[in-house]
Amino acid sequence: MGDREADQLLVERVQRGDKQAFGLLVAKYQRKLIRLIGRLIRDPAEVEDVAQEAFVKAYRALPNFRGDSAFYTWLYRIGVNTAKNWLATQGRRAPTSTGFDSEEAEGFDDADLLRDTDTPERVLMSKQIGETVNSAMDALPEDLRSAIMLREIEGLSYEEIAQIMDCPIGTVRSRIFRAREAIATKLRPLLDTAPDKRW
Amino acid sequence: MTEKLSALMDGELDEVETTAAFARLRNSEDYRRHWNEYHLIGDALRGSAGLQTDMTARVLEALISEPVVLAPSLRSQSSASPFSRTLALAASVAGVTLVAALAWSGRPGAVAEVARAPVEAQVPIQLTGADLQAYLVAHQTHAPSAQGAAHYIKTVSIDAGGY
Repeated sequence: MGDREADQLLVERVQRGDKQAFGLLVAKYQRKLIRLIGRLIRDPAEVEDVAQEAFVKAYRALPNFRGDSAFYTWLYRIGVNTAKNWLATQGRRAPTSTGFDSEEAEGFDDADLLRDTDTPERVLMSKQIGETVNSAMDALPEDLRSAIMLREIEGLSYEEIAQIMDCPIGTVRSRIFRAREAIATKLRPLLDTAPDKRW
Repeated sequence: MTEKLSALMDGELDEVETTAAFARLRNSEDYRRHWNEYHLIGDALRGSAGLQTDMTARVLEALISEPVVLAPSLRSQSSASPFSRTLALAASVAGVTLVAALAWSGRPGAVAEVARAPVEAQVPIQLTGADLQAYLVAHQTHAPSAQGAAHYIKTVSIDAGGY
């Protein structure tokens, strides 16, 4: 079952009244959506508010979502429209005059965009998370590091990774899991999820 | 078990396992924490901005006041197995057949009774000339000619020897 089908299963759970399932979609796509909206709105504080509004709008519109497109494509459209509406209420226009779609947004390398305008505390936190993940990656055994890089950065399936690494699919699955757990173990003290962030 | 969660994130579980994993995510805060962490790691490796952001709890809190979403499932309609579709078709055919059979078995007797019912002789009413005249005079106002253009036509008599 691919990513899109798994998302569709989550959507159907939400459509049957499971709000918690919507939380899983938020957790999965929040940073992508924030990156997208950050292309239109420069103020990081506003970006999160607009992203939240977009998620709420998506939740309200979910009964009409029939899976004709991937969930994230649909969500990104809502994100762009929400951001444009916000700009209109502020008497401003979106940065591009020729329109803006999710595919275009996905192509941007805008990792530094929010850092330029974010508060120092948030920039520091983001930087620490990035450095911790990178140092944890460096500390991984080569086979684990290769497996998770092929998956997360190259986007390959387990079958493709198994062919490249010349090992069974089960081994790929185990390596990727162990890599994630090793990185997460180093990340947890930094995150130390506050009670108000739990759900 | 979190190995399955890791595979779930990569879209590498089958539908049954995926459904089971989602059910577990619903019930386990610890499992959801792993879900968050693994997605954060993926975003960090891809160089995403805003790594410090976790707005899930905030969004869910905003949804508290929202009515619960309820929509008919497309999947449940489209994913019916061939067996269940065949069963439904067979049930429909059986139903139509039963109704037709009942109708067929009940109707011939009724038709036969109607056919055998004695027909009363229709006796024509005989009107004499005087009776007919009285009848026509009495019903003149109901005659079609009295309602239409004929009402305005002046009746004249023509002598045989006229002009």
